Amino acid sequence: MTRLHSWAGVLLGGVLLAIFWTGSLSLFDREIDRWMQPATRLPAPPAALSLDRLLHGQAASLIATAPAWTLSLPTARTPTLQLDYQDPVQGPVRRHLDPRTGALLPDEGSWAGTRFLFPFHFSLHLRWRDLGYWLVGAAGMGMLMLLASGVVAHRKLIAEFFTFRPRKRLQRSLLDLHNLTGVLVLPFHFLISLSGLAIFCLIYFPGVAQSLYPEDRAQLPAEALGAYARPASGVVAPLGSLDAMLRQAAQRWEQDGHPGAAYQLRVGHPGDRAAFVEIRRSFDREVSMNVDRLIFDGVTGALLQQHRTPPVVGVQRFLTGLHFVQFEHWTLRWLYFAGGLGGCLLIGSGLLFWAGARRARHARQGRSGARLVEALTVAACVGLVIATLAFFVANRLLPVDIAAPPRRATLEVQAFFGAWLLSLAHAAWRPARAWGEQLQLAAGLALLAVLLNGLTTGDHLLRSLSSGQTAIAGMDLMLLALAGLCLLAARRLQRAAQPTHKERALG
Amino acid sequence: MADLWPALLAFLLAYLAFARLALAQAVHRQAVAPGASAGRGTRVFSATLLGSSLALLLVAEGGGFGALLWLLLLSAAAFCVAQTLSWRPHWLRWLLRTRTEHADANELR
Amino acid sequence: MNASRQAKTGDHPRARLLLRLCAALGGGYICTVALTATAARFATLLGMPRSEAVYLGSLLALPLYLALLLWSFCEPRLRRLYALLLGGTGAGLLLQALLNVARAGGG
Repeated sequence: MTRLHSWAGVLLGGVLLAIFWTGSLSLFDREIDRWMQPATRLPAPPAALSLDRLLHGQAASLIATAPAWTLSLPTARTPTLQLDYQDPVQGPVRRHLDPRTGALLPDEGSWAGTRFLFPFHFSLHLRWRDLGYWLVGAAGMGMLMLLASGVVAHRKLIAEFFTFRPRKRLQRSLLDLHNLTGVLVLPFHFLISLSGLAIFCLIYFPGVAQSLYPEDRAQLPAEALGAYARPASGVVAPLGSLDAMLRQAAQRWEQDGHPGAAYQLRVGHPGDRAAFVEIRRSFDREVSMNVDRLIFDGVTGALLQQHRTPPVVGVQRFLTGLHFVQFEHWTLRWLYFAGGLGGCLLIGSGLLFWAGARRARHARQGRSGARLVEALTVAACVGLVIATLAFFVANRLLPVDIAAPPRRATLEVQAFFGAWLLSLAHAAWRPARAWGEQLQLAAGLALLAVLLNGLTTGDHLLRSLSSGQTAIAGMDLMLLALAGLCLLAARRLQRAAQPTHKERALG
Repeated sequence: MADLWPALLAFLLAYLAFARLALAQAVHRQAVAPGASAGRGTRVFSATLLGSSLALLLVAEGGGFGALLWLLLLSAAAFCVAQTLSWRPHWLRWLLRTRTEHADANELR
Repeated sequence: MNASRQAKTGDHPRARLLLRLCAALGGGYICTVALTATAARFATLLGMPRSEAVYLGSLLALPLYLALLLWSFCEPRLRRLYALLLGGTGAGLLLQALLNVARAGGG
């Protein structure tokens, strides 16, 4: 079991760390969006909206020819109206509208948290044949195996439940930290890994669906999730009142005993007589991400279909909701963040402990040790942080209107991966100093990001705190905390390196 | 802010429960107050406190949120106890003192 | 007796590891899908709607695959490992074939 734990940890550690890191950041993806897209830094949305009025403004020309579009209603965390549609040239487009005036907010061309960091978390941005989904799935299953094997391997150490000796030798402290974050946060790690796998369980085990739907596989989303489709008629007809449909939806759900507001509308074949509007119920008051939806006829507003979440699908959606954390509960959100960072500490300390033990073993055996392994460890841990910070800094430095390809979003992503590669190269080139120097670089980048936010948007920390822009203030404060932690870690590692210098001086 | 009270209270209950459990182990007891002896009724004490914190959260936050919050707060509380033992073990000295006082009072009777 | 057994099994540790990995990752997966698909089919026989049964099977596949993976790395005897995984897969496929025949015959 111990060997399984070591091998699985070494093979999957880097990927798991990336998943846990981007996952923890994704808890605040909307806040990161506000920070990286200053045009969307609007005050809290008004309680009552008139979609019909707002959509007749500037947005009307955008969606005139789109075969379908999705409208996401504003929330406290996302104070804009979001319009998603498919453009034949650009692909999927997301535009933000001011919920008070319907004005189109300038397209800043950044993928920010919700379209880069969050998808990185579950797909690693590897689209080719869903490879990313499968890698993340394998890593997730590997995490469950690591948790089980870790508990079994350390079962005698369960007595050392609360032990953390930070002032001892680095290896001892690292192992203590690994055991601590592993055992004490075990329920969270287990639930997060299992729920993450549950989200994509149909993708991971397609054989089950194939066995029960041998010929009509397309029926499954319709029966389980209430997916609705009907062909366009070719006859032109104006779209009915969306506000009336929203009111009807709220009434319907109230009658059913599941009171709730809508969070999203999807319009199929707008402007056609066969148009339909799918209205989805919000899940900000419950753990489960329900799939309750109502389908209305787009022209007449008549109710065509109502879908309520079936029981077993409900279990899967509960697990999904457990993982997505889309509900409005700030205490839980911060606790999840702590748990996610605990997971990063768990994996990072494990990798570091293994690297240190390997180094000691090689020193005893007189081997020089593969530089690549050491460099990969540095890149997996600090490199990942540097890449993220480079992403933020690039966002603040790049001009908004870059018309010619590569577009701004691509450049930001290139900054992310480029910085990651540079971290690997630097670690391979200067193995002895890599940790300390990169930690210091990370601290510097974090401070630079805070500075740039203040300079480029004017919402520096004092202003954002006093004007109640909690998202921006929170982001800046977290960046400052990250800088502090990196410097502390650099100092601790420097202290750990010193006894060996002393030993060398003596012997 | 008012809706933070259940979570804070539940956290405190869990913290006390785990602190007591930690002090039942000799190595941690010696770090807090060298020479102190173990008390009795640790398991009942801790179990009662943990059960109360769960009940409190289930009532205050409902089934789903309550159970989830409890699990996460347990981890947070246990982690804080471990950090207290590492950095400021003397903060837990009063827990041992109340226990030894009880033990003394029982012996006198 | 022990020495000769050790000589036989200790001969090709790399081959054994490869076989174990195949059993764990590949065999475990196939066995899981076979068994859970059959369980889902049985659930529909008991009245559960098809879509629900698919979700039930897919969800149950997760802890089942985890258990098989862990066991694959713990079970010292490769033969027993393969026997059980192949047996499980075979049983699952056989039951499904029987259900198909029953459905074709009845419907």
